[in-house]
Amino acid sequence: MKGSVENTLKTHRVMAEMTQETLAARVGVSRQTINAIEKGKYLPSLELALKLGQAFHVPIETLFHFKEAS
Amino acid sequence: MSYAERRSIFGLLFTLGFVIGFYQFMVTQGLEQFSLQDWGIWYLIFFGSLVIGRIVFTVVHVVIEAILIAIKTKDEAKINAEIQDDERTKLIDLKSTYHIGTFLMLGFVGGVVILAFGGSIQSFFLAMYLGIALAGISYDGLAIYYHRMRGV
Repeated sequence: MKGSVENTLKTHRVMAEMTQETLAARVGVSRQTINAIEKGKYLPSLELALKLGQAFHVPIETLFHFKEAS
Repeated sequence: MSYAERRSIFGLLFTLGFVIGFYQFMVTQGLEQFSLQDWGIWYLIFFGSLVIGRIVFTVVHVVIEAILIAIKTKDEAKINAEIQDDERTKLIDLKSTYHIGTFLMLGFVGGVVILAFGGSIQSFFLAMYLGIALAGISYDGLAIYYHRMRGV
């Protein structure tokens, strides 16, 4: 099954009125890592994905989903 | 630009400067007349000074970065967050080491081929030196590539 992992991190972050820097400090990574995840250039580890879910009080499948290639 | 990117850029410049500078130094010491024992001594000096130089360079860089960030913010948590290696940086570091072995092997095999075709012992060691230099350059070069362009 081919496809890619997409995320709604930026939408959730903007809705929570957080900067990338604030979110990065909360989950313990650099601002550049948050930026890379939002741009789809980096797939976070399961641990970081869970921390991101906790930061927004949502399950990780709300933040990340697999999109099959058409 | 992140701390890790700047570290890779300065690391690349350091490696380039060091291998070119060390080569020039060997030339001034009469590289053409080096015996096998001389090559052994010079390689040990090269590896030792490269490792020590890189460690000193990294420590100085971290201190300067921390001071520069501390001037902007007094928040210790922000300083630590800025200069820490997170999971993405560690992954980039790991992927950047992929081709080190390839270049080292190419340098060695290239040197052996030169010997097989009647080349001098100087050419053999210089081919290995080139392989080591390219390995060092590829490490920092790939890190910059993953940080700025491709992602991981």
